[in-house]
Amino acid sequence: MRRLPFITPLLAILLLVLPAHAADETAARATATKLVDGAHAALTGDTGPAAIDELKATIDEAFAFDIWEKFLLGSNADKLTEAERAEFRALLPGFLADLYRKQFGKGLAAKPEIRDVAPARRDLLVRADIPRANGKNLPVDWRIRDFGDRGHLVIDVMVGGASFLILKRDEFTALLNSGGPTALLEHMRVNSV
Amino acid sequence: MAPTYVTNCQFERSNSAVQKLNNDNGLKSDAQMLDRLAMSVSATAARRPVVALSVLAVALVLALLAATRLGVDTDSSRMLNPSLPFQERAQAVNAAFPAVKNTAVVVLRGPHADAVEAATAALAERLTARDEAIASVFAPSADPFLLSHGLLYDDLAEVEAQLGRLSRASNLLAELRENQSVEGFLTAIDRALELAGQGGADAADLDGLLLEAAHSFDAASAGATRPLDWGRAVAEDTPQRLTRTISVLPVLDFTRLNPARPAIDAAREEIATLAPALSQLVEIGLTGDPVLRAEELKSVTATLPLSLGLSLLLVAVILFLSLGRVGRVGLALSAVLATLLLTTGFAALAVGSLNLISVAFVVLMVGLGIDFAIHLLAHLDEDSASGAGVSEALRKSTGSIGGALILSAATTCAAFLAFTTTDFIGMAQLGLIGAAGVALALLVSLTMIPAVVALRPSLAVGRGPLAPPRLGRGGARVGFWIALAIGGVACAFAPGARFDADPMGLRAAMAPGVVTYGWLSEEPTLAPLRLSLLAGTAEEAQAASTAAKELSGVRSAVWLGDLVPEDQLDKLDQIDLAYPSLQVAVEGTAPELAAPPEGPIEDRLAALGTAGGSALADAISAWRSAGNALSEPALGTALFRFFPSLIERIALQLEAGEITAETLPAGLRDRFVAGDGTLRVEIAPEANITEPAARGAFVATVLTALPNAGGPPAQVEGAAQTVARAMAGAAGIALAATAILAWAVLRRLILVAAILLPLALAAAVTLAASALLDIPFNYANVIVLPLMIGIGVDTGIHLAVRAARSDGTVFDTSTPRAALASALTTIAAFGTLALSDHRGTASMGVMLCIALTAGLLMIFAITPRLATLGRADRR
Repeated sequence: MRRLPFITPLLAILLLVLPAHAADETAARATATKLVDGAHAALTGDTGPAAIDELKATIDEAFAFDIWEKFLLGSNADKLTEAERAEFRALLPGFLADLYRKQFGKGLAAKPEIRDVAPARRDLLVRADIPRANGKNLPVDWRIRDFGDRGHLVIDVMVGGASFLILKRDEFTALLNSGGPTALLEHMRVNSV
Repeated sequence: MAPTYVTNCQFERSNSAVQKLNNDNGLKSDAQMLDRLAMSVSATAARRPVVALSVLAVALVLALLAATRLGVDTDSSRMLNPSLPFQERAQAVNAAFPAVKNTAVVVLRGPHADAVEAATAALAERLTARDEAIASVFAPSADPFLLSHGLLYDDLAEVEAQLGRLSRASNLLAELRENQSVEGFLTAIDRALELAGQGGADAADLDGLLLEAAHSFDAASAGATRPLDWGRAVAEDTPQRLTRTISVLPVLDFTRLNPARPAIDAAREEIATLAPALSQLVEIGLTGDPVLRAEELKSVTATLPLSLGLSLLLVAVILFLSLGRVGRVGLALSAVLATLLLTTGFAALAVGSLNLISVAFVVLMVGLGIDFAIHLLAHLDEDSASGAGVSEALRKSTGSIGGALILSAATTCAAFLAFTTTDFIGMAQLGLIGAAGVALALLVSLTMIPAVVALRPSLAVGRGPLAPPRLGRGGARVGFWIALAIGGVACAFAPGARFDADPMGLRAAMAPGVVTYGWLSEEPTLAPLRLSLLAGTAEEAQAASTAAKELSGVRSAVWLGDLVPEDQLDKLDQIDLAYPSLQVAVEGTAPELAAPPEGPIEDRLAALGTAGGSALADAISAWRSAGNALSEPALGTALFRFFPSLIERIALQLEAGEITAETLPAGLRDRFVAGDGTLRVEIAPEANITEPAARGAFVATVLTALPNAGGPPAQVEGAAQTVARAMAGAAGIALAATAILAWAVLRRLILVAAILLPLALAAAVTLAASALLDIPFNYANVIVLPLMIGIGVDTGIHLAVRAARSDGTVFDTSTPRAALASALTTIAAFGTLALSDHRGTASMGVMLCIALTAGLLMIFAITPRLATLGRADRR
């Protein structure tokens, strides 16, 4: 009984934290499910402009573009002028939608099946498998962060353990080093929907 | 009953004879008074030889008892006045941060990064377990906190690049983790190549791994084991040779001569018993202040038996050639040994503990102690040869040269006491001991030798063939002018001499601790010579750090605040970003993204067209076809031996969080904040400041901007200036005191010049030799200057007085022979020190030979001629 005064606050903290964590997982799963459903519908149905708009809208709603911008440019950010940054920002949603389309559009035999949600430091990983034609699954993870009022948003997509952000950041760094911001922005213009 | 050869009547008669002799040669009554004093002392000893020798024996026993308490302090930083500003600053740093000075450092280095890291971790763990001797151990590269948070100390771009590389390799690492065999290795590489071919990965990322694997396969082809270096395989810009350190703070045992000895022994034991498989791949050394000091003491004494044996042999031969009989040689050596023991007893009572300079009083006592004995014995023989009986010879000898003996002892004492006025405590201590030793040597010679000769009259007679070459009048004139010319030229080069106060310059170059210290000095980030600045507040520390960073020649300036990395949130974001990929590498399952291709992997590796691809393709082919190649399981073990360490390090990086001053490991934090809150700013040089010029520039630059900075480099520079000032000042006082005393006794300016001019020119030659031969003066060899003054003044006085009294035929007397024997004895006794491994000791041997030879030649060439000129002028 003597220990009760110490245990009580601990229990109270646990009671507060556990539901919050569960709520986070639910919200993250909801974000991923919405993205999967929206993207799958856009990528497997009519491939005309309407489908592209639908994909863009889905991506717009699910992705935290400011985080993508921050990580994609990383330490290269100061190589772009304000005007170039503004154009980069404008091109980014279309570029990511195109990337998503190319990555998930070809050979997509079935809709990704969400398996579970796991913590990844201060974010959550919503893990899914994409059934492949060869009978094997391709693992896909959506990294989702809680932005408070903005809700739970996707800050990275990993296919087979490879991070979109890291792969594209390396690509952007190479472009910036070889041709400067002009080359990068041209690449984004060409690869945008 | 002991025979009494000297009676009061004879003594009075002798006094009259001495007075007549002196008056005839123009020497004043002060010199006669000294002659009488010497004669009185020796006559008393000769009258009561048993009593005199008994008193001496008692004194020797008491001295021996006292001598057992004498210690040796090898810390060169304590050889200067502690109230000097640079000394006070260094003491303040040492008092607040004792670990900075007292830490031993294990240095591990090698081309195999994984082996160096593994050896560091293993050794750190074993040293930590030796808590009976070791208070604390800090290995930055094996510290769990720094392993986990180390990435945060890199700049943001490097963090991005490093995490990017690992993220891209995550599937490969996961696959390798699942099958740690040669087959598993090749399959995983093959899949990675296939993925690269499909554009899913960059083949260039793999090249480091392929190259490292090629080394392992190549070794296996030759039947050898070469573990794959995963650290080098996955990291860019790994240095050709990786160097790591482990700081070992000893539990100090002050009952020992070296309080850190148990810790040093424990560290050496652990290094010696480290797994051979690791120690074969890694060079391991032990250094740091306590280690260097222990080794220094050992190296100083290591060749001592050889030097001592050789010295005794040479000294005995020279004494025999001079004194002519074994008994006389024994008597002279006995006088020196008695002097040495009495002086040691005095040193124990007066100073308690010797330092690296005052320990050389042994050199002084042999050099100066033998001087009096040789002159007295040589003169005894001369007087005996002229037909005098033993008692008469004793009276005549002490009456004739007693004054010169006392005057030379007095001037030498004055010269040594001049050093006690300086801030150079090492030399001041030697000055005090040397002055007492010279007085004791005179007393021993004037009592022991007459007493023994009184008991054994035959010892008065004996003369060997050793004598200086006789030059004709013309030859002497030419020699005089050549000596002046050499001295004049030497004066031009003498200002080039310098004092090197760096204690590392003294130590045996091949001593393990010195070699290991050299390893650290080769690494700019680990270079041990740094300045420190104490600050009371964070604002002060930050301001000093900022100011120091802006100075040219400063590589880094670090205070506690600098240990909290900048841009942490951005870097942690990068770790967050890489987390899922790295987690796959650490504990996930690699997705099967590419089907294994058909055919031998060598073809696909060669097709890559990269250095690593070609090397591994060739290496695999060679291994498959080699007859005595390492077996597949053994090669598999070699490939994966250090792989778990890589995974463990990546896993630790996943735990990185924000660093604050409070979360820093104690081993790191305690180097920058003291128990009382005092903060230390550590300022590291850009250049290798073991070079004197670079050190001087670095210290001057920092002290101009931050006058409160201190530490070993500032001590070395400050010491050099202090010692140079002290030596110049003391030499000036010594020469002035010698001149005044010589004038007071001899009352003839030309005789004073005959004593001092050769000495000044010999000093110039010695300084010039130091500059031209690049043998700087240091804490060990600086002894040659007072020794040269001592012996030079003695010899000069003997020769000048004798020349003045002997009507210009001084080379017909025993005095030049005695002077030559005395100088050669000292050279023989200590020239053998040049054989020592200890650089300070060896340079002392070399410089001593140069200085004494120069002194002797200058005195022989100049003194008799000047003394003769003086007498001619008077006439």
